[in-house]
Amino acid sequence: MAERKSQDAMTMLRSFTAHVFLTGICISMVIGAEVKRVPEKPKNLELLKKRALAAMEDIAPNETRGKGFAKIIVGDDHALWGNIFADSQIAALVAVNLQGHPENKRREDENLCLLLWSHGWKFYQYVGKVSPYSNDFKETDWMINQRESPRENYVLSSLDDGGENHLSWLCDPKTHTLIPTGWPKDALPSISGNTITFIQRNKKNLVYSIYQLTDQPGKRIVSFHDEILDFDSIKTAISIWDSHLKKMVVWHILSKSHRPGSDVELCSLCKNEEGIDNENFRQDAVIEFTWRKGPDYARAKEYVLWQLSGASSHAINGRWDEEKENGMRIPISAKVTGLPEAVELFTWPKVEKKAE
Amino acid sequence: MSISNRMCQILRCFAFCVVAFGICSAVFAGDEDLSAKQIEKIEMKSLSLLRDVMPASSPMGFLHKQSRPLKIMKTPEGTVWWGNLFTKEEIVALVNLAPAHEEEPGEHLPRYLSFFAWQKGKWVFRQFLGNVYNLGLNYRNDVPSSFLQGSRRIGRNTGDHLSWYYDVKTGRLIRTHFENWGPFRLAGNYLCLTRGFEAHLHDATIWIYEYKDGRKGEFLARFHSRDDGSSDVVFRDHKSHKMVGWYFNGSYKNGNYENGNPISVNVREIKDIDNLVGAKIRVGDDYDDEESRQIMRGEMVVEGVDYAESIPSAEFFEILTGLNPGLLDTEWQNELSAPPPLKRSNISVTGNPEIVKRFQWPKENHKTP
Repeated sequence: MAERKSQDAMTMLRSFTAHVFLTGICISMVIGAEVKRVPEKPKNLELLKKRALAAMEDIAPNETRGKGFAKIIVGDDHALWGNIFADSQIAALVAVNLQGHPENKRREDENLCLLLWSHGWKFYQYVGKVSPYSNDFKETDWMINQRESPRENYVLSSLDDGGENHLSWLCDPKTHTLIPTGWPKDALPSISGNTITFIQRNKKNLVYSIYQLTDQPGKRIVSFHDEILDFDSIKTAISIWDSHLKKMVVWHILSKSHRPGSDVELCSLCKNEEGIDNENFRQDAVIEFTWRKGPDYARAKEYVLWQLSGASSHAINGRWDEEKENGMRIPISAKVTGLPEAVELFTWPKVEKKAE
Repeated sequence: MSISNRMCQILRCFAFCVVAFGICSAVFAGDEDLSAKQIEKIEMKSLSLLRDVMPASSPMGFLHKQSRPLKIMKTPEGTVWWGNLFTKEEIVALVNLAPAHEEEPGEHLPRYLSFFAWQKGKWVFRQFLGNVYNLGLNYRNDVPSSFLQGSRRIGRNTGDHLSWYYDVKTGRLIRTHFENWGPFRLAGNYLCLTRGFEAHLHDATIWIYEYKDGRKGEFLARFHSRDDGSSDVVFRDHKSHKMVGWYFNGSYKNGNYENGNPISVNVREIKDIDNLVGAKIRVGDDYDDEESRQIMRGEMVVEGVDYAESIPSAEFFEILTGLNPGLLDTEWQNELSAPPPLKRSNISVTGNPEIVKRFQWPKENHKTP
């Protein structure tokens, strides 16, 4: 009996130890992940502070900057300043380029620093590395993009590795610091309304994925990609949740043809459950578009995406609301034959159902 | 004082005011016919752009060396350049306003430029410079030492290139009145002008003048090349003192150049010099007209030259004009570096003896026909 009790105690002790060990590992991983979100302090932080403050030394904001940001270029360094946190606090983001502009040499990433204005500029945060400015100062890879509602600003950049490593920060008005968003690093983000679009590159294509957005990306609304078949033929695959079938489906659109000089454009549609091989395109429906300014597959694709998902033109094209866009282009007419579901979804103008 | 004398005094006073007003308008109007009120509005708008710029008490460093940092601020309302742009002693600013509204395709709205100086803790308007943008600053070691260049497009393939030098005595920017159809650079004692807005996509041309103490001197030479490989050099011949043009056209047969095919050489006397020194170009023609007449012809074969690239134009330029081929470069230079010893290509020449004399190399290989 006593022996059995001691064996039970040992078993419990071993179990407890294993739990503690595993928990410890989990906690370490979380802490490690948190540590990685905060960039390592650079060794030359004092030099960076000095250069960042020097870049802004002649700027003494008189009042709230208002719309837009001012760009400052001082030697090899450049900055954006204004109401970066979408509130009354004036701030500046300064990219310090310690390397200069060496010819025939790969340029190093620059160091992004945050300064706040309060009766003078004060260094507030070392943000991290960003992609370098082009030599002619005409292009900068990092920029501030704005979400309209709620009013939020985001800093986007990529490291100088061919643009495969995308970085993004929220300009947090509560703390007046830049906080990494945690968005996927292999995707270029854009926000339109209450949606966020990520553009990722797979082996052959650019894949657009649109998600609902509150504080963080939520449910995926739709994703799509184009496949160029030949010189004038494009196929688009749209993956979306079908609320009737209660499963993911893929709609394929194939541009067919248009007569030169004609305003009519034909597109074929095929619908399958996700995962089913779509090698052989089965024509389930045909849409005959009539456009004001002649056929344009990009508009046809956008129209189909809009009807399927409700996503805006900005979201479909991966643009922020502040960027100029012509808006959703609606056809003069869209006549649909074939699959009844396609007829109901894509016919334009919409036919009102008569009450029986 | 009699009434008539008084009337004369009043009339003289009135005339003086009219003349003074006219002069002031001319001085401040720049290149456009803007009223004083319009210029004042531009000044106010430019000042508002400067409201956030308060230069630190210690000047950041004289900008005379082009490697010094230049401070630029770009906003949706316009662009500001500021600092010790021209002298160590004074901080100044150039303010280029953005167009009044967004341009429609093909529209070219003015972007007005103004010049301010930082005096006793505030910006003081000094000069209105007119509608000009795409600014560039260049510096020299001689006087005048600072040059501002800009341009303004007024049509699809038309526009002006304007330039000023900084006058230390008056603290103002003075128009150089160099040619306005293209930008220029100074290299040593030479002024080199290049193409401007005109639509000559296949041509590259450099006009070379003497230059001294801020003044453009005599026209020396024009070098022109086309992307089909042809080129020409126009200059005043030392012996005949006539303006002549040497035109080189590669043999373009069967859709490509072939090494070993002869280059045709066409030498023409240029009668209409005014047409030559402007933005227009001429490629050698075979007929005589009031502008030029042919005086010599020949052919040459240049050994080892890849005609698909170009004829050895710099070498021909130096042989013909005696000028430094470094002038064909596009950099501002205080002094022109001495060219390396001319490395002659092996050339076999037939035709006019003068052409043979100039270009046959080595001389002893010339075979008389």
